[in-house]
Amino acid sequence: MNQAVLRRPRSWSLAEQQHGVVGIGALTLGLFGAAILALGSGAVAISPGQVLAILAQPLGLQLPWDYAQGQAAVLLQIRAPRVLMAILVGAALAVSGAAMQGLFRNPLADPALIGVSAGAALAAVAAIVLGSSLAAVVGVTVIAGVVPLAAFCGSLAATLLVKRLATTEGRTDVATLLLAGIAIQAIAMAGTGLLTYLADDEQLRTLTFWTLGSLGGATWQTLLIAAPLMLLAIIGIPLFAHSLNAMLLGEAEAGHLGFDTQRLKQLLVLLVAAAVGAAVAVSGIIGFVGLVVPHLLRLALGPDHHWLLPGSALLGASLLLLADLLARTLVVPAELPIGIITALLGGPFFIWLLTSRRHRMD
Amino acid sequence: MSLRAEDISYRVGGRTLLDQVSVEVHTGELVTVLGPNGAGKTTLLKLLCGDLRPHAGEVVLNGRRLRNWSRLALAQQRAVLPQHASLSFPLSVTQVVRMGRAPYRGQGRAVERDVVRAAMRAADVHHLAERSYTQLSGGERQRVQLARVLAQIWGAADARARFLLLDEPTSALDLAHQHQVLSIARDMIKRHRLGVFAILHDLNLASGYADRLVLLHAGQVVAQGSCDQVLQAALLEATFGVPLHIAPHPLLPGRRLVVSGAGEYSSD
Repeated sequence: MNQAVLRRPRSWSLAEQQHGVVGIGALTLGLFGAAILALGSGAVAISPGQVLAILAQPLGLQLPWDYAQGQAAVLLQIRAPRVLMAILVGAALAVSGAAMQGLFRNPLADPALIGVSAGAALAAVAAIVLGSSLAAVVGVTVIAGVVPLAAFCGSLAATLLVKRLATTEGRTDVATLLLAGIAIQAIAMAGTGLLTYLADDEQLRTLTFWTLGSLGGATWQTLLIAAPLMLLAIIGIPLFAHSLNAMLLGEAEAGHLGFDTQRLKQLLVLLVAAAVGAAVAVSGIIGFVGLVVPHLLRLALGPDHHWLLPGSALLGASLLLLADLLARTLVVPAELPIGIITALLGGPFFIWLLTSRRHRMD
Repeated sequence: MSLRAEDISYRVGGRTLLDQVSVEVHTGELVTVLGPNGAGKTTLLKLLCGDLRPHAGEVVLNGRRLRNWSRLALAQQRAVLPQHASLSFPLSVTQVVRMGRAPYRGQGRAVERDVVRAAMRAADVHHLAERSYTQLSGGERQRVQLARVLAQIWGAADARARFLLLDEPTSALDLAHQHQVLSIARDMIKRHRLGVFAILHDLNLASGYADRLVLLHAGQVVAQGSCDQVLQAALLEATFGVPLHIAPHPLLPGRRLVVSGAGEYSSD
């Protein structure tokens, strides 16, 4: 009997390990399936077998499914960059959300909460509206490249400003960081509103793209520009899993355990700013992914960041992929902004979350 | 081997919170700090654990200045039990206690498992191993946190002196659990090369468990020494501003019993 009691923690730890491995495996398969589905769906239908055959072709593999050259062109030139972009943006937003929630020890934290997204959007909108007068001089194509760059600079500026406001004598206070983020967000939204008021009809249509989000602009070119920053966060943030677990105990407690909490905060905030800035730059503001995905995973896999962070990347990628699929197939030949779909899915989930939390407290 | 504060002072915005305070904890003893609210007890603990740096004086751990310790080496030498734990995510009890082994990453899973198990046993939470931390009662949570800090300073093969700092470890606990926590601390002192520094509010609890007492008032040490030396009516009345009556403990020789607010129930 004594043996059984003694052995319990060990088997428990093993069970946890297996649980995590199974979860990550299932999420990987899910993402694979969602990608095949998204690559095959649209105006030109491509069956899953054909999708695999087209993808295997450049690798020198011949699969037993025939396809037309037109299908291959649509898949490789139009759908593949968009699908990859959805995967990267979804993964980057979800991992960033999970990291912010761990850092702030607040399950409701989100990159939008520290003003990152709003700063990016303000800069992008300013580039669109104020850039039109510039466009007459330097040409429209230059402006098109300037907008994503402005979005990235905006997110970085907002992040650095918020961090500066929350830092005294080299120490960043988490509560002040959140409050400063809310203030910066309010100011950025006011600026965006003012610019919207000034915009003409054509500019307004472009502005909708930024405020509601869309992956419609994805090309191999934009993917190449935005991917490195998002990959940096998707791969880099999970390396901090151990430190983020310790942060759950409290910042002082993590420090007492030997973690450099100042450096951790600074690195994570910068990684998140880079990833979210890049994501907003190519796809506009897409809400709720960073909030909902880590939550779902905490319910399924528990709060251990070793599983939570990679799991969030996989599930965020899958969810955004499916949301984008809905966005471009629901009202063919037009497209819905993807932010509307994520908000319609995420909003009710958020309300459920709030009510279930209240019930638990009762 | 000791954890020692040498004439440390600490100021915030022109206000002096601690003024030339010297205290020390040796291995094998439990030192308790007493004092009214605002006396500087928590500030002293934060200076001793390295959260704050003194404006004057030095904190010295095992003969080396605290500021010369690396973050990791310090974490292997001393642990701090917070007054209020802010953990609000449903980690399991084992996961929380295992976090105490973070400074020893790479020492091998077997050692980690043994220490975590032993620490959970010492803090009497081994039966909760698989439970979620957020579903525990306040007393159970405090004991889980205690198990975590015990795991952090669990004496391994090397016999280095380690120190445990407790910030009002009993404030949220009922009577039985107050005694349990201090008994565990005493037991650890007996079995490991350990010194414990605890902030307590209950004078009788301090009298019952401490080897030495430090009485702090307005940032200065008013008295320190044995129970007999510190638990003096005049001294305590001047510090706490409450009438007090002190009697010998009926069961523990050499210990004292403090009854506060004695004026309220005088018979005339």
